[in-house]
Amino acid sequence: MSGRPRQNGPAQAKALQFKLVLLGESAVGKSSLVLRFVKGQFHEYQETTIGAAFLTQTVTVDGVTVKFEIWDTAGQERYHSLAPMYYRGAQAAIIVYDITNRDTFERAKSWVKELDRQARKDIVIALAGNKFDLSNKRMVEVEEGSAYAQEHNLIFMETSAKTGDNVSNVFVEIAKMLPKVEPKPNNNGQTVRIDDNQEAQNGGGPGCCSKN
Amino acid sequence: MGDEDTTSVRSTTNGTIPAPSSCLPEEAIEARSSSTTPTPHDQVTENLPSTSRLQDLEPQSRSRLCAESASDHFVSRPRSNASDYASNPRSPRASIDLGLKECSGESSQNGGESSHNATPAKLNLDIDSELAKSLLNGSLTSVDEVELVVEDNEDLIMESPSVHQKEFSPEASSELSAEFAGETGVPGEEGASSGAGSGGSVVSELEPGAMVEPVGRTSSGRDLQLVTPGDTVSDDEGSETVSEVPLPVEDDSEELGAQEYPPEWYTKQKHVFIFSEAGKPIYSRHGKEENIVGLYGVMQALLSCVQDNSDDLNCIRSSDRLFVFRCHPPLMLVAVSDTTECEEQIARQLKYVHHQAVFFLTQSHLARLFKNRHNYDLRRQLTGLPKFFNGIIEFVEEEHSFLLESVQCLPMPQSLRNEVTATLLSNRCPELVFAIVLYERQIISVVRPKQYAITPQDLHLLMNYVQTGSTRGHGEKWAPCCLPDFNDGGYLYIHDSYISETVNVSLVLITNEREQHITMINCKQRIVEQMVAQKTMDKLEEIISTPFLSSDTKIPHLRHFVYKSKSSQQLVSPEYTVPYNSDEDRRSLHTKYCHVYDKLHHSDQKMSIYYDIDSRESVVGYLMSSSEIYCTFSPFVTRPVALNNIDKLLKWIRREENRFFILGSGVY
Repeated sequence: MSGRPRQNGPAQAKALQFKLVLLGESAVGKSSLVLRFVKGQFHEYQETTIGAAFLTQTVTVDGVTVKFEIWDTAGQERYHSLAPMYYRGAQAAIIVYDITNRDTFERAKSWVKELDRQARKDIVIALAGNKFDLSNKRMVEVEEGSAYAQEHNLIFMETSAKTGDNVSNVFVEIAKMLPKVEPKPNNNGQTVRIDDNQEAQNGGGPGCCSKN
Repeated sequence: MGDEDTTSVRSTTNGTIPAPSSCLPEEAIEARSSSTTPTPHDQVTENLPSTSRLQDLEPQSRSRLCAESASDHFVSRPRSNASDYASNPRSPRASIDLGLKECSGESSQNGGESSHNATPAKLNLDIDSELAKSLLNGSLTSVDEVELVVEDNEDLIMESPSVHQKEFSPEASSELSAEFAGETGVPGEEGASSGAGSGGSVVSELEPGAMVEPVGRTSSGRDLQLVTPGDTVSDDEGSETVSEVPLPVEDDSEELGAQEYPPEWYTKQKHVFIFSEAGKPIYSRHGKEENIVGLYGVMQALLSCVQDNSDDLNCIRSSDRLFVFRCHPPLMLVAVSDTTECEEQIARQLKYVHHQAVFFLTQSHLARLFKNRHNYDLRRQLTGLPKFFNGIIEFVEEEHSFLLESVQCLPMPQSLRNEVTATLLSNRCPELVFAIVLYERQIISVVRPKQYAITPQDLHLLMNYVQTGSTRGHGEKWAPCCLPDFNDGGYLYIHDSYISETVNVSLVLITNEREQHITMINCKQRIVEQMVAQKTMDKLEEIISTPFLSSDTKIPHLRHFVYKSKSSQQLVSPEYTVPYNSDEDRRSLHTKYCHVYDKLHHSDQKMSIYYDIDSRESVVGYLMSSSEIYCTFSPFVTRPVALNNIDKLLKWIRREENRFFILGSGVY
């Protein structure tokens, strides 16, 4: 990636790299979330992703620089069979649904199940209810998403790529939960099983926007 | 024959053409019967290669398609007023010839009479204004001539010297109708009301009922039987049948109503449609497919009528439009054009559109999708992809490289190109199959294995993919894609990304292993790093900022040119400059190139030089054994001067060819 702006260039030395994958039904706003996070931009008519797109972005959490290698996958069904190659080695995943479309929430649940079965055990998963700016048209209540997330030990937030609400928070929360030790992620994974702790931390988080 | 035909035609067409309404089934029936009557076999054989023009017919007979075919189906489907079908084997220019073979046993099933006729008969299809309208929107009203060209299994039957028209013999028509009836499923939207069917009494009578009927008939063969008898008889029966069967079709027809399309829709220069063999809409270049469902039905009906006779419908001409049909199972493609492009060019464009679908889905996957689900709605698989179809259509309409079946390289010093190629080769990993550096629609470098080439067509698809699905600002893309010429049954995996911050230079890495996305990213990273270290990128940016212009050649009066080297399938062409400032000017010049190309390549007479001179410019096309060139001069240049300048230009290009073409290298 030629010269993509990195926020925390200087801290490179300590940067930890993590693979993160975005999953979810098509048109829920995965690419928009990534674009908001990486470039701070939003396009009303974001082009449909074909296959998958790869981007990187770094954030600093507690003095540690974390570099995310982000796989933004296409939501269309015809690319479903390719998903495993993106999440198989991923340390983190954001599963996105559209709060104005209940079907996408159901699809998100099935992604959670698929990751439970097939992703690495220590994967950190965030559930993002996107399009919070359209909350007057919401079809999925905050409580419902939050409850499901708690039940499955997921980070939960409602986000808006359009306004930027909670977008970087999702990544930051994920970064907090990832192992900060250099060694192989595998070992850490267990330790990191921070999910539990996390809940405590993020417990307030589920409210997302309010949290903001 | 001409006389007879024309008369018959008139009857159907004469009246002003009202809104597109369904053709009267009855009419169709009659027509069929008539056509069949004459000695079938003899006619058939004769007819095979002919196309006919309605214009030859009397003036009154305007927009009708005459199809000579054995098939009765043909008539039935269109629902258009296929009223007149005369079987005159030798008419100067009959209407449409379908070089169909004999009707098969199908016809026999229908009414007895019909069966007889069916076998060898030829059909004249009249597609009145309705069809025209429905397809084109009302523009057809002025149609003076309609020409249908059908491919007899193997051969394209373009206009052949001996054209056969069919007369309406009442008898013959009956058969056809029967079979058509058998073909169901066509939304009968179109049948234009034959308005005042002045000529044929039959027609006029039929019309009222006709609109409705088409649908009903298609479904069942009985209509056919009814039809068989005389014209009048058939009419009556037909109408009855119609009334009996109300139909889904009617709804369609309503949809088709001219009013349904916004006015702009009719003014588009070229429409492109894709649909499935079952007539399900897949893509429409303009407008939403769901708004023109009925139209798809009509197109599908036309195609399948002819296919039922083991033949293919290739194109229909009206005075101002060209309808080109191509079947690439399981997809059917239709273009409706009022450009000056010839059928061959449009057919090639449709092939590209088909390849665009294969590019994302592969031919084998497409076939699988439809194998057990004839009614499958392919649009589910195409979410987000219509823009690529739009993109490839624009590409083929604008690009010299499409016209000349070649690729254009970005002109640059050979040393720089070699530097790029060397960088690709030195960072190549075993999984990599092709590596390509593109600047928009021009090639900078290609690296490929010795045993595999990559065709211009595949490269065009890649350019469209990269350009249309621009990754600028959204990272690197990784997607499974199929290069149809390379292997239309399997995927390759394509990684593409822009490698310059300021210009649209992109790197495309292609592997056949789907799990190698990380490898490709790393490979790309190494290539970019090396390019930065060598300042290759800076050099490329400089080259791009100083484009190649026709003035560089120092040839007087030369405004623009396109030169193709046949052996390398590469072309060179300068940027457009004054006076070609606007898109419209450029398109107009490109259209001229297309015209000259067409004259040189598709004329009956072999020509090696063709001049096209008007008040704006003179365009000269020159075919040579290993190359071809198209030059644009000012309109005041005399031919000797133009030829002399072309000669100088050819020598100049040869001297500079290292700059313009990729010669060797890049192979591992």
